[in-house]
Amino acid sequence: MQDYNIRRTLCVALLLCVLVLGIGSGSTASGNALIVAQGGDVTTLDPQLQGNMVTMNVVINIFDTLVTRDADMELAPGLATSWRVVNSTTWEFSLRRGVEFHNGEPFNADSVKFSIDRLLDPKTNSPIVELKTVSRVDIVDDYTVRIITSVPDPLLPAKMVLFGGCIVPKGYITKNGNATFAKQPIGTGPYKFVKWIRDDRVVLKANPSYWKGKPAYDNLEFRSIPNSNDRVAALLTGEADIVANVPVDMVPRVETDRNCNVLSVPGLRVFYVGLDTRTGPTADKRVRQAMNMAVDVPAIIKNILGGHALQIATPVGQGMFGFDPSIKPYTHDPERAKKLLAEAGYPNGFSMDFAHPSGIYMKDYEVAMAIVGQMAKVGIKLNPVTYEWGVFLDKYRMDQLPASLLMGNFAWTMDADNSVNFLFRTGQMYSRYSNKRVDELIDLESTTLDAAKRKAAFSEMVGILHGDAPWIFLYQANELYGVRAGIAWEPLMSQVMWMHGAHPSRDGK
Amino acid sequence: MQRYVVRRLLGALIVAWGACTVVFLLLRLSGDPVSLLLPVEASYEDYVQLKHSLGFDKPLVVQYWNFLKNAIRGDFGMSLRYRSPALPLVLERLPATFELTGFAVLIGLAVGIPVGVLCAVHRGKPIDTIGMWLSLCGQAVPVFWLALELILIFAVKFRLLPTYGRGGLRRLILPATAVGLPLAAIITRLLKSTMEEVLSEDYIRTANAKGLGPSIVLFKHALRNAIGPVLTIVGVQFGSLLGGAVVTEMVFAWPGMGRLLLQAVGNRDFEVVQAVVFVTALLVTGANLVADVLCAVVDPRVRYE
Repeated sequence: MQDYNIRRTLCVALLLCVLVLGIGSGSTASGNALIVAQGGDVTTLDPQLQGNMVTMNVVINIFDTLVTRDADMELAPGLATSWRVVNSTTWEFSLRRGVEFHNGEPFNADSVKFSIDRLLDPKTNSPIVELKTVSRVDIVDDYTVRIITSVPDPLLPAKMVLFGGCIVPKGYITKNGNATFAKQPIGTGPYKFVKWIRDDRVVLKANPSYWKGKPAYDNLEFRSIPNSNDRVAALLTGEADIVANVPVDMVPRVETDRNCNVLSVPGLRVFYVGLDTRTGPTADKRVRQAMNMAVDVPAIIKNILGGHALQIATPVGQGMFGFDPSIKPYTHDPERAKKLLAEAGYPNGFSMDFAHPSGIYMKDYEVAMAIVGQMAKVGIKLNPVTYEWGVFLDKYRMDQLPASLLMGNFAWTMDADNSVNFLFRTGQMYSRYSNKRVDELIDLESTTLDAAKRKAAFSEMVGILHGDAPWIFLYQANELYGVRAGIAWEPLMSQVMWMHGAHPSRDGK
Repeated sequence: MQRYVVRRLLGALIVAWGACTVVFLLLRLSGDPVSLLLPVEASYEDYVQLKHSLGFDKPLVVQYWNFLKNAIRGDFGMSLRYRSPALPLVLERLPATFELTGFAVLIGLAVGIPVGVLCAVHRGKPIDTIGMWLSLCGQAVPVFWLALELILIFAVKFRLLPTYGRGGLRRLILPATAVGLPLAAIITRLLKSTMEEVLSEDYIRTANAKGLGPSIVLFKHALRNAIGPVLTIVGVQFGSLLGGAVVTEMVFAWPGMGRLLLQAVGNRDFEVVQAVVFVTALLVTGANLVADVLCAVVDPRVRYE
């Protein structure tokens, strides 16, 4: 009897073994497939229920947006062939003819109205807030729509490039419901949805009748590999063809591999140390300027970020509308910094708290520590404090962070308004700065549809901000992608991984 | 025995309820997820509106009551991040985590038992010293480090096994080894000491004196009596095994429950965290129960009332 028991236990163990062995027989992508690995999984496949880049990178290959950006990052036609200003609160979009959703449903003005109405419907509970200036959508004819805004919105076409601009199928969603749509999405994009295994992969296949032409790869897979070392390992072994967010430390390892390349593209995230201009030592402009001179940004870029960043002079970085190349960054000058501090009444410096994220952005902790060290050399003692990311954001929102804080701002509309409006306008949630002229200029740029006037307003504004120094201006960090040799793909500065143009190439390394 | 099992099952539910309550309170102490859900350019009005529509502006007691009321019906709410019901999100990842931990237990037993027996039999000899040193290392090594080393050696350097993902035995070996080796170390040390004890018992001397072959004495008489504590320890370790799986799932991009939990904590996806904790509490108490029952099955001297 007892022998029988032991034998039974053994049998169960053996059975377990067989079961485990039997699960799948290893799957490798067939022939003409492109495998893209990024740090996270999509949260939903409903483009109107998400607001993060990881999801956007997948969704943008299934759906089209009304407007896109070309290689020079200028606005370019998407599902809309052209757009024009009708009056200060009306934009008219002419739509592309002959486009079909993956289920054969035609794309027309009705699809656009349905999409924007759905996004704005409070019941949708969409995290996408940028279209809140839109009051309604009018259908002019089958291929023309007018978007009416409550206030003039110069950024409307730029907002149609990403999250808010995805066009969803009316017939499919009305018939099958939102839940089905989020699991089995139907779009007009270059790839059709095949399957989604949560936290593992999203599988797509080429849309042969895509209006811009069939993509070069028959299959496209997005894999989710959270650990960046493992993501790079997958690239090195060829288990992934393209990986996003290569850590700076791993760049040399990838570059020395004869089958892999690193693509380093200027990014849209601008890093800064935000200073509280309302109270304390940092209320004095000379102190803030001195702090800008105390930090050696080129050394941080060279030594910590491996050269993969561009120094900034103002809150508006290169590639963004409103960037002014005539304004040069502060130069590292500890002696002048000390003099300015003495003039401001702090010959022996001062001490203050300094909040910084840790493990959120590329090398954020190391950069923060470098800043602490460089400040110490001019007599300013920064006491670093760090919070869990959610707490950090809460405190930021409630204005409870210390007088100095390290932060990155993602200017996804590629327009300076995205950076200045909610960070510098008096009384805005994140603003710890007030300047009457800057407020006026923000009012002007955010309500004028005339591009030339806006550009002039931005130039004046960033000039004032540079001198007033409400931030220590640091850098805009590059995006780093690892790509296998034999694959030609141009990453976009807008950071969205649009894979339509990717194709095999014979150029080796 | 039946009454014992029923009583233990009821206990498991109480443990799960307690764990959920603690986690519910701790999560709410940490703030709310509204900030993380909104883009930075959202206004204060957006913040207040979303907070209201998600119900985070209600008093804590009301929130807790709603949570309990729904949880009893098996409804753990909607995941804020995935926009779908939380419990199914957890349950659909369970097979992956079971596959990983199950295989890890097998590796732990397959390595731990032979090494433990060897060390006990060759007590004080070099083989014993080496075995004990290795098991000490196995217990001391952090799982994430072990996992990364395994990838660098077996996947990147020698290209023997894949680096990430799930599907098939080849993708299972490295992550299961990372989770299983620390368990093997514990089993080795435990089995060695119980085996040494058992080997000095009278009935072993009797068995030897009867003229039974050494392997029969060792495996049928000695191991059988020494294995009880090992089964218990596997049951008790099941919790830390799941903990090891959390880290390992992140490193190997294994689509299991641990990874879901870690991401949910980072995103303050409260509903998912609560559902994971509930399921985990049931699993851990369940594993302990199974281990206790198995002990009684293997060793007839053990009886529960």
